[in-house]
Amino acid sequence: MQTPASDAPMAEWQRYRFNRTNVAGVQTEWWFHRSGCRQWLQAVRNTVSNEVLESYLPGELRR
Amino acid sequence: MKFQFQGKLVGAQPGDTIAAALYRNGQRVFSRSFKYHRPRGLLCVSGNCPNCLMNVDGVPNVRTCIRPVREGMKVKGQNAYPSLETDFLSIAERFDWLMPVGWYYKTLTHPAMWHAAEPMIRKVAGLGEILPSGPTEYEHAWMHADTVVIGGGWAGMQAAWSAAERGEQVILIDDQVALGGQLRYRKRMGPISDDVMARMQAAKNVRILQNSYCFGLYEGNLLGVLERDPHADASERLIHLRAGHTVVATGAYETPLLFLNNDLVGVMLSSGVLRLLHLYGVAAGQRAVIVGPSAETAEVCAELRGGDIEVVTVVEPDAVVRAIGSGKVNGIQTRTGDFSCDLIVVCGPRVPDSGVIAQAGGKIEWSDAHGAFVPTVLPPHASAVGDAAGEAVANPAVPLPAGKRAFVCLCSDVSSTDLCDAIAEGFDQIETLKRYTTATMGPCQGRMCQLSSIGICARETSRSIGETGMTTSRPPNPGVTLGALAGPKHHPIRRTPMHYAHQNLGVVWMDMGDWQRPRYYTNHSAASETERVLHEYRAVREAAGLIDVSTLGKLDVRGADSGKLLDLVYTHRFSELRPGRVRYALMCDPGGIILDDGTISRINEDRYFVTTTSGNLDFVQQWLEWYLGGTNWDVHITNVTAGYGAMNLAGPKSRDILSKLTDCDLNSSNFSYMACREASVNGIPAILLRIGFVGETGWEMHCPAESAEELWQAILAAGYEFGVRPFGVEAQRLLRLEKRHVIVGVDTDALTNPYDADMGWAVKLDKNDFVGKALLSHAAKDQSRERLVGFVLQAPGVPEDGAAVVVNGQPAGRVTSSRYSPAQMAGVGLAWVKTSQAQEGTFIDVHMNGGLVKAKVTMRPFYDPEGVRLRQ
Repeated sequence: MQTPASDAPMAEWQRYRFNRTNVAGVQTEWWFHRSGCRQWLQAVRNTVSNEVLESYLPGELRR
Repeated sequence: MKFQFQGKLVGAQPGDTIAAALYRNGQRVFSRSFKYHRPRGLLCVSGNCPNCLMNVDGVPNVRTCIRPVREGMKVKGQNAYPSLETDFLSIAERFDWLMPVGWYYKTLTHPAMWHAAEPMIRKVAGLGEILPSGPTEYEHAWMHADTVVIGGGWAGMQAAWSAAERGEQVILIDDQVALGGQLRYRKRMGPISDDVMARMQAAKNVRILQNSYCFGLYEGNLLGVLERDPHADASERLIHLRAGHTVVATGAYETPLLFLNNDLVGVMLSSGVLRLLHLYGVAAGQRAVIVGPSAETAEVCAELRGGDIEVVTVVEPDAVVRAIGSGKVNGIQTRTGDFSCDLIVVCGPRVPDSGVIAQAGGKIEWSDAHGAFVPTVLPPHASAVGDAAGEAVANPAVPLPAGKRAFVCLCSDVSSTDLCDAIAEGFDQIETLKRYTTATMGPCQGRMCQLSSIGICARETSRSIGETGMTTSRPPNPGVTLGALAGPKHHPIRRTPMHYAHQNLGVVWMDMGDWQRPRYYTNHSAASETERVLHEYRAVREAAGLIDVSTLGKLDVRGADSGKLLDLVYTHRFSELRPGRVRYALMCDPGGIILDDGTISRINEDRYFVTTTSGNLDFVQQWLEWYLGGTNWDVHITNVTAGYGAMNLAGPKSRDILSKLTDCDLNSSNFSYMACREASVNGIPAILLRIGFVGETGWEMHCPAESAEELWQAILAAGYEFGVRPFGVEAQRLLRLEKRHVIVGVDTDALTNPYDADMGWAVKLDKNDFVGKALLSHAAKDQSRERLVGFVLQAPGVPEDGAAVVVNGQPAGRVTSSRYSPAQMAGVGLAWVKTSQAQEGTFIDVHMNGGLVKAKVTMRPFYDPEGVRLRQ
């Protein structure tokens, strides 16, 4: 989900902060490899099957 | 070998389990049932049923039929008073008509009735008693293997061996004392090949975990494994086991048949009788009646006769009317007549043990050919072999008694009648039936009762078993002790480089996260904690004090874009901070909520030195790196917390002391308040920050950890003539409270923004974009929120942290920190109040000692409000 601009209306910030959609399906997520290389990475994951479709470093943003 | 049972010594033979030794010594009643306190004896002898649960060495609910005897162990029965043989609570059965399924939902309908009955129910209900500080030692371990095989029967051994021959690293988990599964006690299946056994034990790439069970198969092929008695220093070890591939070879277990009185002591499963006979050389009885389909009974009959147990007769299951006896079996009534016996051997349906497959997301479906639920779809990276896959399972249809009272669920005393009643009440889906009656929810997790309860539900609702479906057991199954999950009793402690210097001075420690910090020192004749803290306080205010602040999180942030990152993540402006200057740093989330605070010093153009609160370092580092993610900014963040020791010297004499040790000009003209310098102190390279949250002239010094103790000692020695004293966290908290400095996480919570905490000065809304800007811009104008204010008590005493603030008789806030302030000679503190009360000089009431005390609100520090002293 895109972070709203600083001067975006409060309603938009409210949606961003509190009314996220709980996706049943594929979504892009941030993960942190805490016990390993301490690298942030992104993963495209199906929240229903828990299948990770792809993962990549944040620098390689796909969308 | 001898062990204690109910206080008496009992002899055991090598290889005995507790239950086998007790049975050999004549013990027949092993437990009392959950609800009616009916006597129960051995049934499965394989760890699958709830009948042998006892208290062993203070640990309740131990399955004694698979727990090997150890010299001197103390075993006692549970859920019975005064003894297993005579249990007064068995009177409960007389009142069974008062206690149908769901009886307290039906009977105790008024709150008053529940309150009256609750103490008695609590006393009687439950199973086993927990000893809070048992002698058991727990351990955690982590293991990896290419292939993990669950179950050490023939199928599991073969699977393990073929994986081993492929060169894989193999771990074989078996819940018994020795490999072999059924081969160990079903003589007709032939002996275990010594050859395979020997090769397996010799193979370097096969690890066999005996006395161990898998209680759950989790995401990413992570197996939860509990190993009993891994070595002399631990009685249980919880293993986090990662498997490339998991082979489920858990076999099948036998389940009871339903007939009236089917739970009497002396009714045993055939596999249990054979186990007793062949594993422990114990005859389960003298005169046996075998109940079972003819295809199954022949083997058992031959075995019993070979074991000198007289077989009175063999009966088909549908010919059984009831077991005769009160407590213990002394006969059986059948359609063809009554027979006297002391043992009823039941050849029940065999159920593939597929719980781990179902719980990991596999599919288990009814198969008419097997007469059982068998796995049809397996979770990824798992396979099933042998009886667990249904291989040798072919159960004939099992007769179910029509409405007669036979015990289905032995764990919670649910009878066939109870199930029929519940279905009649409308709980006709297997999932609701389970939750309403608690059948399948006890310690055995449905092992003994699932098939029969599904069968009854299917019959009563005129559906097939396949249509009725099955419930899924959840991990952990079998159960795991909480101690094993919690792990070892010790937890790692982080010590600062000056730890032993503190210890030598004499200190009372306090735990802060993983860290140990001095609470206060005891190297002073003052007797009480209060006096010692005040003594340290006065040293700082009047001469000088030295405190170990090595626990601060320390990050070295370098690179051309460091300022840009810090501007984005912190609320203040750091890109334009001049080298050699320090600034207070406040971090907020996108909602404007305070996350952490610290200081940021600009050492030179491309290098910042960031401190965080002790407990938040990991978080802050991750947070910074997250905002860095996806950018191509030139920033490198290094955690240097353990690399630097840190201490703060504060007080009017601190300049005199430090000047003895460094050439650096410490006068305010050169080294002003909020400046930083790299300098050599006592020959040790250090970063000096002129900051002072205790409100006096002072320097925070960061130096290489290996030299920190030396620097600490040098400062104390140099300061001796000026009256320097080490001070601890308690004095520091009082000193900073007098300056009205907030402790993030103590005075603030998950709803606090900087404006609420009166720290709007640390937020630069005219900056470009930064995390939290949008909501902070809004919050800056919001007058409806609560405010954190200081207060001075108008009467003697100090309110407790958390005390209520009252205005006009209405609750209006709460106290977050309070102490006796020597500067004000009164109790002072910080409190949350409504914005209307956040005015200098307003009066509020604070709850103290059961009454209300007046306090005066102030928005200024309690000590040196103009901040003259710390700039001197």
